[in-house]
Amino acid sequence: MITRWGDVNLHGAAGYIAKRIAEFAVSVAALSFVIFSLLYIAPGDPARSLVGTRKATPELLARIREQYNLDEPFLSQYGRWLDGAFHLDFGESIRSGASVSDTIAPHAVVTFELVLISLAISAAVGVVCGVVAAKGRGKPRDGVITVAALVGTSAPSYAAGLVFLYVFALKLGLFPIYGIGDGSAADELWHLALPAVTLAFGVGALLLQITRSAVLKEASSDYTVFMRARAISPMRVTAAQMKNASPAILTSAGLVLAGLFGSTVLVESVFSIPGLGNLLASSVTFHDVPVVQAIALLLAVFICAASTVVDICVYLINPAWTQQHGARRLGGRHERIHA
Amino acid sequence: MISLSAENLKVQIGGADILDVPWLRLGGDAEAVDAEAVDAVAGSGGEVAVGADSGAGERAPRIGIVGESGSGKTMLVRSLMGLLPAGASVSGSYTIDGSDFDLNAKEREWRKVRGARLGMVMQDPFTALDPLGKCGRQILDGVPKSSRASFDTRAALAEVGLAADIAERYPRELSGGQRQRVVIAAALATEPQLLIADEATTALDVITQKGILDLLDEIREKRSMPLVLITHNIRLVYQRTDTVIVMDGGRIVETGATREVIANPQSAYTRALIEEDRLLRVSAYPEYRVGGPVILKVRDVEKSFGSVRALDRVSIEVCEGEIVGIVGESGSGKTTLARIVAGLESADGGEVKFFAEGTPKIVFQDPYSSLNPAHTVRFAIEEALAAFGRPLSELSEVMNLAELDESLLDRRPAKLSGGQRQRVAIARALATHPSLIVFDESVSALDIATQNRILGMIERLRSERQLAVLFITHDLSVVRMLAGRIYVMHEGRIVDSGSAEHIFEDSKEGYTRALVNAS
Repeated sequence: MITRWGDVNLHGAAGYIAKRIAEFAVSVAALSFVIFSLLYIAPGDPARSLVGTRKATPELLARIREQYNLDEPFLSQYGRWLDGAFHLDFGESIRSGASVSDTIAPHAVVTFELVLISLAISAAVGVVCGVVAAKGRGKPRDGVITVAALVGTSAPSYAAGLVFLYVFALKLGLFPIYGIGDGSAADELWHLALPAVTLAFGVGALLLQITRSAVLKEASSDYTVFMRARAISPMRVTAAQMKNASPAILTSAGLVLAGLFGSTVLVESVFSIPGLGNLLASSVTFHDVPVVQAIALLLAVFICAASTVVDICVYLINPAWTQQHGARRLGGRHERIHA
Repeated sequence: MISLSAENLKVQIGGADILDVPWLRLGGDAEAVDAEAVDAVAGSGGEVAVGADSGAGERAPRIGIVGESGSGKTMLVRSLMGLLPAGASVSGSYTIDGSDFDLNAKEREWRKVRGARLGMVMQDPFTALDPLGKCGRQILDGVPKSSRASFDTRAALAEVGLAADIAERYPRELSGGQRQRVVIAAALATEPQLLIADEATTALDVITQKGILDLLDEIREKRSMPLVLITHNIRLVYQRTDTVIVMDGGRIVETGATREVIANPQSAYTRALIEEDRLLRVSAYPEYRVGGPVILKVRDVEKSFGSVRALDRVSIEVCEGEIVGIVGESGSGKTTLARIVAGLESADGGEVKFFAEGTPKIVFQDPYSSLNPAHTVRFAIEEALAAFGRPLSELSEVMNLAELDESLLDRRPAKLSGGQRQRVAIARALATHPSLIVFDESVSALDIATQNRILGMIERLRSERQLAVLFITHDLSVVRMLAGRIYVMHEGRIVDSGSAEHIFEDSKEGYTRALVNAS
């Protein structure tokens, strides 16, 4: 029996999606193990690591050993931690004593907003400018866009952030200088605009370059020449080229998303935004191990999920592309997560 | 009928002349081409009248443009359609049906010429279609707005001999021949007045080629639409065209009625093209040698990929100092057999016995991808010598055997021609002093002159060094020139075998006859 949906053989598609979800589960499981092991990889007694910056009295150490079941075998501790993680229970923050989930939640919301807004900006600007540059290859507009993209990819985000802060917030007074405002959605968006643009600056430029070269590759393809030879409208030709270029663009957007979480630490600190990056940095400083583990796991799950979704989308657009590029790309993606 | 003419047509890329054509006429203008053709045919006497069209004046002409790769034939038609690659500059005057057209016109203007006036069928059916578009949609895309409402995709597919359900399929689901038929349907959907087929059958196997060429001819006649066949294959021009333009180095070197030109070529280049064509030239069959010790014995070998049976109880033998040809269409299993003989693939059943020292070596089809682009010729050959424990001093001997000039030693593959790269691949194989080399479509990507030189070299290696050769190809003319003994493969089985003379002259096997007749 052959079932078809769009251009995809359903058995093939269902099989691929199942395989990709299984890979997601395996990746997350492996990463969770590495993340949990952080406590033991750090030099010294785990109990002392969990003491954080408090004074390590014997009573406190004994209480921590009991609280975290440190006397149990390693794997059973991992099991307990993982079980807790499934219920979003990561224990208590060493620094504040509050629940880790409650500590992270507001920060996570801010960072996810920031990352998604800047992904939207960089994808919109990067893809559109990339197509415009490729279509006008060799013309002045291509030159201008290409140079701008070069500046974007070479300028570090904290430097760009400081320039934006100085020009748009300090000199022109168009945007607030720090924080996330009074809590209303509009005010928060206004506060996040400049950081999001800063974050989008570099990755947008990267997406632009990838889009430009992907579309250029399609523009020199035989099918493009054959479409032009049949006087098919330029709009249709561009649409076909975009569809063929989209797996490369989508895949790099997935990579960019992972990169965004890395850059967010710097941008959050430049703009004093209470996001995950700031929380992660200060938690590392305070040896707040449960919070660090929870954030690391959250990011790992999110990045793996994004990469899974991207791969499935790419497969649905063009299964042949996945067959050609799949294995190599997957390896690259996972390396980035560890980095 | 449409008529095109161009004067002083020049194309330059990066300052170099790619095309320089002082005068050209194409199309159905009776004065321009047909009268010439009819005169020429009439003037050449009775012997060519047999195949010539008696009523050439009423029929849409068949025009051939022939030349080796790089002769400018593709540039010529691309310049007439405004499809030159980026960076090319073009000058000259161009007239379509008597009115002038600017060769440097904007896309908007060119779109009136493309499709509605000139249709084009491209060489490679695997890349000419959008891989992500359904075939029916791609055909429909080119239909002019005015006829879109009444356009019948089913009929368009039927015209090129395809079933209606192809409309819902994607190019990757079709064979090469089917794709080329979709390409032709898409080109015809724009209702062109002249169709240009640019090496439209070169990438296909002989039987599929014949089908496509017959189809193009049928359509030409039915639509009264002149057909321009661009090809490197002078035999094809001889069989399928009335007039011919011979091109070399961006110039037209000869033009006239095809039969006249081939019977009595005026330019040295045309003579060389005819001389190089192995089937036009009458020559003796390669000697059928028997009696040498058997060095390769393949018995009842079977191989399946999933549910596909690639090889079905295949048995062959190769003797020392013998060239054995294996002929078959793509998908016949011949490459799988080559890979099993070379030890790159293992058989599911049967046995492969090699009685000489070492292992058989293989030379692949694509000289562009079989060499490491980062390595110089010297490195590539020394690496092969070192890997088999040969002294590096044998480098120049190996270079000589492969007829490679020592000045190429420090070049990387990017700076070598296709023929030179293939010689480097052969030199790497020779470095190991093999008793048997398997050539898997090793000359198919090269032009005929280069093919002939490499085939000559292979024959020399055989006679001087007692090298045994298993030559695998879809091209009958190659085995016709080289192989004393031939196996014919079809759908994973050996369907016929014997001396070259037997295969070409008196085989009773139906498939062999079809192959020979199609070439």
